Amino acid sequence: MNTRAEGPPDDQLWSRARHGDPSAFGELFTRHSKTVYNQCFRLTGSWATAEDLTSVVFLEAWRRREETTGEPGTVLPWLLTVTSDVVRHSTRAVRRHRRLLARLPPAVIEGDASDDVMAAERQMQQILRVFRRLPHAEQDVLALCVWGGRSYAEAAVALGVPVGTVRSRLARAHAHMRRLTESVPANAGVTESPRLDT
Amino acid sequence: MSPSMDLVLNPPAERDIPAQRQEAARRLLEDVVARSARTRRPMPRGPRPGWRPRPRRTWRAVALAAASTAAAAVLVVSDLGGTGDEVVHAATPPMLDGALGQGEPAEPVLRRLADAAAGSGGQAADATVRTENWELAVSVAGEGAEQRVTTAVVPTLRERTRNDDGSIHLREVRGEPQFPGEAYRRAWDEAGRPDPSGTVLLDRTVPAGRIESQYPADLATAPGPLRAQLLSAAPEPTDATTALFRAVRDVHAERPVAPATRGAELSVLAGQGGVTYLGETTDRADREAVAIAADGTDTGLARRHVLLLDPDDGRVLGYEEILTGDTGALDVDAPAVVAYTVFR
Repeated sequence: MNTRAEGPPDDQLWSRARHGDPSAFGELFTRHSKTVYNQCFRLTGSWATAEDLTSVVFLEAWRRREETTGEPGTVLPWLLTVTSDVVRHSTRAVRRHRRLLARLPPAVIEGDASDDVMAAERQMQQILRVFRRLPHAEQDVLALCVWGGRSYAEAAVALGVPVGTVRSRLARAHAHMRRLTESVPANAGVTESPRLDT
Repeated sequence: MSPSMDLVLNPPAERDIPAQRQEAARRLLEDVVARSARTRRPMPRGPRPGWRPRPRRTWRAVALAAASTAAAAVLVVSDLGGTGDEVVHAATPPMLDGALGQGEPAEPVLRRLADAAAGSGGQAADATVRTENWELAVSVAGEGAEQRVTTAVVPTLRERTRNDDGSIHLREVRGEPQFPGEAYRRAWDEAGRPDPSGTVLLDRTVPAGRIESQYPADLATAPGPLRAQLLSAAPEPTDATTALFRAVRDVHAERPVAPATRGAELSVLAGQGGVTYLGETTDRADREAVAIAADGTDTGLARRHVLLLDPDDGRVLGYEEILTGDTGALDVDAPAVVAYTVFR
């Protein structure tokens, strides 16, 4: 078993996975599942939903593996793009993989009754009330660059647009967000994100 | 910047995905990839081959390809390996002579073995399952140390022990390499003898509840319910017979199976169309066995699934998969054994 602390780079793992190496895909999952999980949370406002969707993102990534060649530096940005697609079309994505998801234990958030967890969900849902009013193109670039921590160049590759387009979309997103946040009361009510039925 | 804008740009702190969920999801994903690899992912071709797997074991089989005559026949033992003058295809284990025969309906044999299994009484004897496994590697050429060994057949010896506290101890060790011919042995030597025998691949105890089976803990002892349980991992199989063959292999690889359930398994197969009896043989552990087979194309390539059973009590001794037709881009020449499991 490969127990190297620093494994091969993403592009090599992706290449091996695409050619049928299960452990390579497993390693990619272990390496990036936290990032995807937190991105799912930011896009849904629910830790339990994020837990379910993290698996769906990787199942979708495997299903759509022909879409990317996995060039160096592109695997994680592409995964985050898949994340956005999965969240946007979660019902369809979950339905597609329902039988496989049934083999997973139910999502259990450690300490899910804690004030911290619930406060984080309330905060995120408040943010999403504004975020979801942005055009999809601006949501994508904001989620990738601001929440996902990707560079403009990585976001450009992931979205298939020039770097300049990323910059301009992000600028527009900031402007829109500023106008929207100024119009939404800080203590506005929130709606609970529905639990996915797998 | 307004305080609200600040909030948007600084979402709540990150959390770790729960460990149990992460482990389960990784296993699921690896299983999905492995199944895809077995069915569709091609392996880049290497240099063209000259070696063909040759039979090495005696098969006393029932009438094979001949039209309707089912007269018993004794098949010929051949030498192990070919001339081995050059390395051409990826190494695969020797083909069992007669494994590709037409055979005859397996129901009578399976009914007899089902009765013998169910009548052997008692519970599953041992808490440890010992297997020898090999599967054709599907890998990318030119990735240095990451490249899979294809100049030798190097099986994995696996022990899976369920402890009293519910934890499971897993140990995997590389077995003895096998070579189709001398050229393969030389190539393996020149490559630095990768995956040498005795290498410990895995030796760990997994806490109770961390490894989940695709199958229920309590397998039924009646054929009907058991069939449903065995197909639960593949709820809508395109070919139920080959799915059942795989399920039997999977179940026996993860747990000792009680005699009553073994009997029910064989009854399920007896009632399944398309199962043929190939005859008697000696398995890869030199044990007498009877062989039954099912052909399918559900994986995309024509493939024969063979189960080797103890002729006295129906115990599952082995499982093999053989590509019988088009091999796609796999670096083998059909017919070729592409996977086997020996149950010790």
